[in-house]
Amino acid sequence: MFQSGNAGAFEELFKRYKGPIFTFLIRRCGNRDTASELTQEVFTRVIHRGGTFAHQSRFSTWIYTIARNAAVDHARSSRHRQHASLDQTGDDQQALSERIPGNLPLPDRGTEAASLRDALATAIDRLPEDQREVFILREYHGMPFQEIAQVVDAKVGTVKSRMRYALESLRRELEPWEDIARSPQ
Amino acid sequence: MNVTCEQFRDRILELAYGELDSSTATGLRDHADRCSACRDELHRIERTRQLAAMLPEEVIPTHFDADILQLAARTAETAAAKTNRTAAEPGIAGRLLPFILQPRIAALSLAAAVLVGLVWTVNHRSPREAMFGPGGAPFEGAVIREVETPSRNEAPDITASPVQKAGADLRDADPTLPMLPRGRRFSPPRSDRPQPSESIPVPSPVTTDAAGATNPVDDLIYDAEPSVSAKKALMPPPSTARAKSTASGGGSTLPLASAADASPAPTMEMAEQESPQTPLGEAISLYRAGNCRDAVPLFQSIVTGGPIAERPASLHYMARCDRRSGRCGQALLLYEQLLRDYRAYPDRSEALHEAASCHRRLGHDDRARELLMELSDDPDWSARARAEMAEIAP
Repeated sequence: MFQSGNAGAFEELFKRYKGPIFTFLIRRCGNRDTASELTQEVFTRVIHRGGTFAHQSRFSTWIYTIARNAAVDHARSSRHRQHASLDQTGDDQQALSERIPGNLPLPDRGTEAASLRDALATAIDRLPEDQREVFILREYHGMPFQEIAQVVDAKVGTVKSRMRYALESLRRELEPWEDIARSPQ
Repeated sequence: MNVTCEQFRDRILELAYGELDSSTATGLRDHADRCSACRDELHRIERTRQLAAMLPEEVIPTHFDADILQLAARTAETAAAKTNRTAAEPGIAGRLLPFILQPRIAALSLAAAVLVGLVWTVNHRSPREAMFGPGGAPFEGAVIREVETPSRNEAPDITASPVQKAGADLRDADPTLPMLPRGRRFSPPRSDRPQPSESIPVPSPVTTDAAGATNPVDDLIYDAEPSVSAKKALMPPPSTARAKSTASGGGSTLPLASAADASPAPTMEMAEQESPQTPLGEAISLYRAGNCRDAVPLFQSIVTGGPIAERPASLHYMARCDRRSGRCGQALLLYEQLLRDYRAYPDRSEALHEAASCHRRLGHDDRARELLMELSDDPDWSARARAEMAEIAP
């Protein structure tokens, strides 16, 4: 519908995907401002390229592919900037753990849960980019491996292999908190 | 279903994430019940997943919602207007075709063409006459050498038309004359045609476009009304030296970034000379009157489906509209697109400077420095760019 210039249909899509796309980008890029700018860029591209969506894949696959490409382009240009000034810590180096608001309501075992969240965020930040994006798409966006393969332009086997490595790294990093996972919530 | 450990490990992720059909999942779970190693592996994944679920939700920003929805609405309006216009008005071919297909008109046209051909043949002067004047004698005082004409025994050059041969002969006499490509139609001198507006310079009599080719379609529409594209073809090319220096960032010419660069893009100054009747001219008039609200949809329609040569200038104006309204973030999307997709855009330096100032306003000092660095390669902007780079804290 939005392809035929229906602004109302676009608004629906925007409402549905703005949050997930922003969340994907912030977890992938690690910076709120960058994720915000990239989210705008993604939807601008959707507006301009709506006519190129060929219904060969799901819309979600298409829009996540756009988001992922925008993030890759941005990472490439930031890497260039980081090379220019290695001792500077710009916004782009802000870790996921630093972004986690401290005033969120905590579960019963508050301190422990807070430190787990920090450890989890740090562990995700430390994952290699290709493993991180696969893990985020599968774990937090519920995307099947087949679709992830389309988004990241890799074979399903490769995607599953990246996911396996990501889970293994996270398990090692989060070992001290395994009791929380074992105990009833 | 008998599942081996290897098969289990192949499907363990799909099992953990619920991607399998129930019978396959049951088969795998039965295997896990019997095999402690596979069961432990599955439990490890499930525990890691439970811990991963502790990551808090992100707070979603809303500050850009209005901008995006406004852009979508503008694009939708433009697309609808374009569809209506296309449906209501047939193109030139659509308007002419029914007229041409009338039998009487067709017969009369054919007769007229035959008559003109006959008259032309009778009055036609040979190439030699064209060069030396009536009777074939050289003009008095002309310093040109005798040109050999092919003898009857020599194989004739069937690929060259009489006019091309005449052109070749004339070029022998005067090498500064432009080449007339073989296989292309000769175009009568522009002075024989009705002239477009006074402000448009008349190009050389032989070539009709930058490539030296005569475009039959241009010839057809020339007598009717000069179109925007025809005007563009008549406009002087942008300063190539400047385009080269800004596009290459160092003096050497880069290959064109896209097909859009293949045709010369008008500078903003040239675009402002557009007739207010064209969409670009109308949009620029609105922009100059401070009415970006109505100008932007017109620029947008050019960017999405207008003449390729007009797209960079339109993008530039859209970016300026956003910048004027204080929406630097939105403007930068357009500036970056302009700088990325139209590397040979003649007003690149202006765009670089405006984009750099927006980046500085948003605190993107590194990107601002990059753009100013490129800008400093333009001799006209070098001093200013360096001064502004010095202002950015290291």
